[in-house]
Amino acid sequence: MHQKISFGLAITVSIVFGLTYLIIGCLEIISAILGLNIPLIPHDFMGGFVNITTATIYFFGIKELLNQDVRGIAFPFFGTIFGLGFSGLYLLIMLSSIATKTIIYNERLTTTILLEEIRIEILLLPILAIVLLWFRNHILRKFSY
Amino acid sequence: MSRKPSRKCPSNSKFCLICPLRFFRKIFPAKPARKIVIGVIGNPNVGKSTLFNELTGAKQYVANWPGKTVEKKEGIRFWKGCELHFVDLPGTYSLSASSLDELVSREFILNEKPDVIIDIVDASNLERHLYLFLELAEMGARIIIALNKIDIAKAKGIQIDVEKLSKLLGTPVISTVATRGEGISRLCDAIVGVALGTIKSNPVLVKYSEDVEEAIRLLEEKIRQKIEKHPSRWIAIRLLLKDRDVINLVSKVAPEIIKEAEKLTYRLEKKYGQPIETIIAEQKYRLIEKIVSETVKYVGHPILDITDLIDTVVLNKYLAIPIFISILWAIFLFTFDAATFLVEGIDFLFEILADFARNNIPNELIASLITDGIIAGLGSVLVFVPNIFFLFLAVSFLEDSGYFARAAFIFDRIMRKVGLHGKSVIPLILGLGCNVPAVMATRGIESEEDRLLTIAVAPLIPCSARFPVFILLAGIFFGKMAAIVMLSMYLLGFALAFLIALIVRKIFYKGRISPFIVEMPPYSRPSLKSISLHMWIRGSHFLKKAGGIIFLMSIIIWFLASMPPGVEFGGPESYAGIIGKSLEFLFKPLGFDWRIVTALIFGFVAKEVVIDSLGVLLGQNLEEVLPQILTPISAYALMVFVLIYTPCIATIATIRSETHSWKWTLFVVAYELILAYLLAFLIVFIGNLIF
Repeated sequence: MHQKISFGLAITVSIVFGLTYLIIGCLEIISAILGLNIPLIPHDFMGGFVNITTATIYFFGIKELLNQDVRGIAFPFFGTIFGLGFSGLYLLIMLSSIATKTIIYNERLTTTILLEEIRIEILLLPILAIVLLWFRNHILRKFSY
Repeated sequence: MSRKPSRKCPSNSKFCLICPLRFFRKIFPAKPARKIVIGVIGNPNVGKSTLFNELTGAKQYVANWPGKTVEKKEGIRFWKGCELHFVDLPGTYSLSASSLDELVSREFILNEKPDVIIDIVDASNLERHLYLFLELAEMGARIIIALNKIDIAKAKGIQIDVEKLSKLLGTPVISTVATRGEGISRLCDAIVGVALGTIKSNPVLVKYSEDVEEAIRLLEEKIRQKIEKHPSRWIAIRLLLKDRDVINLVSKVAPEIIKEAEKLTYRLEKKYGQPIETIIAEQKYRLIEKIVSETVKYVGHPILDITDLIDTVVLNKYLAIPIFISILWAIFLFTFDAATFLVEGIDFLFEILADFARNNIPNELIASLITDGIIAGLGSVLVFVPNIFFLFLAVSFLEDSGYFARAAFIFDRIMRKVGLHGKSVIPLILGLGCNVPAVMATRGIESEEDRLLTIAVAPLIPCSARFPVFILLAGIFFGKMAAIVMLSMYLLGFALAFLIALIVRKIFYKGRISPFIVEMPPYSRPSLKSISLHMWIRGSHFLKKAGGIIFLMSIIIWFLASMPPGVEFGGPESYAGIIGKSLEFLFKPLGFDWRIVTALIFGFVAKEVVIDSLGVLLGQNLEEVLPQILTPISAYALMVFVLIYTPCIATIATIRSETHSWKWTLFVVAYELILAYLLAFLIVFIGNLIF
């Protein structure tokens, strides 16, 4: 039997992150197709697809969470792990690219290089990490052995 | 407080540099008192590889089982003066020899007679895992049970009375958490104890119903007189079960026993109204149920189980495929983009090395051999090494986490329609990066037929090496349509892979696809040690097998392109040019001149070499020169030809080492060459008719 509890914060997280990822995803796809230059948004069609997938994961859980079903927590929980994984990956790629430019091609590390390499998902990394910790400490530990 | 010198070195290494005793041993290595051979067995996804890695560390070597395409992994550990020699047996649910994996494991236990068998059992699913234990017990093996994933069992509210379990099973039971290396020392102690006889291992045997026991007893009496090599009780049970291999074995020495067994089986089946397999299996499960009921307690039921939570999303009808695509994209990003620094670094080092050699070696021929042959050849291999290692790291992570089993499950229905197995999806997708790891990734497919079929079609998937060829030709000849033309290459690659799979399945395997049985293992956080070891073993395998061949071929091609002495490198008078010219007539119908043919021959080494070769043969300004020798139709035909014709040398070497068959390797090369030629010809023929 699933315990019924209030998931106000989980619903808020799902809506906020769902919308954020949806907007970022759409912008990345549009900029990839039209070649628009938007700060922090790369021309990345597949990256946009991944972000829209992440948004969909968040949205899928909202209905179950509104019904107070504890299993609905699976969606924002997995969405956060998923988003965090990609943010970490983009950070790794950014570091690899900066290391290539500065160490191998002997370029100076400037703000321009940093801005070229950084993408909005990397900025979401600390927020996602906090949300994941919240899930772990306040939801999962309470309701699992 | 002074510290007493420890008698036992904590490093557990044969050659430790820390303590004086070990230093002495380094100079005069102590001979291990005894070599103990241990077979490591368990159901698929029980954490066998992780435990094996924990037991052996980096002291592993990989080969194939003699005459089989199944991988044989062995490793060594020194423990308490003994050399523990571990053999990783294929993951299997039983030992009925209905699959190659089961046969390999069974033959090893029966013929090699290992000192100890470690049966890895999933603590969270004792019922099913103990079945294999009972089969091992009947084979007379000395067993130790590694009760793995005990942490997951606890998290699920499962409490196991390990001592009682050990007593009931008649064998040592050691709790382990392989992912964290817990219980390894106790397991090694138990191995040494059982092998030296200080710890008893008398595994419990199933006591079947009276009539089954009577049938076994009757057969056993006769078998004991004729066959001494194998346990008579096991042979009797296998004869009742109509085991083909055992029947063959017995019929050579005592054909009359076979008839007797047939009669007894018939009687039992008639009495129970069930096939003999069901009768035997049911009675085994009855004992298992009894043991489990006495040793396992369920202390409540968890509301949230992490595995269930993740599966709710990952296996969701609508989300499963987008998530799978996203994860694949992540693998690609990790393999190619995150490894950029290392790739560029190696490339840069080789450039410096080549410049150094060019400027400091006075003899032109030797300088050319070293720079254009050896350094270029070695560089062409090593530059891919970071990508390969990163790819394997990502694949190992997903494998150990438990996701790959889900991916195979998601795609099974789709793959089945095209004659492939659910597990074929991973190798095919990996093929987009590089065909070598794709072919190697087929190891996860249990059925040999499905595996060979997947290997045969994997090279049709356009790998990243073909990408520069496509992008160059599409950019020069198709302008705004370039993206669509590029996409068509990928679609064509997959379509051909599915079509060939269907045809080969129909011709060679008459529509048989092995049933898709996969256990969804609980998700777990892979240990860095385990995935790093996986990566290293697979990556170094690539380096050894493929690297040597590429290196050799690079020198051969250098020789062909620069000989006879004094000719222009890759010019028409060079041997390569002569070969290209001599084959030109074959490719005239496709609209390729000798330079294209020569470039394609060079592309045999690695597909990206096609572009380099064209650059050498046509001059660097390909955008201007290529439209003079190719029409858009023949350019498209060339793209299709590069997409399909022969896998690169590294892939061929890998196919050979994975299939253990030159016949299958040559079949793959031959059908791809013929298919490439026919399709390119069709494109030119139809294209010329239409345009």
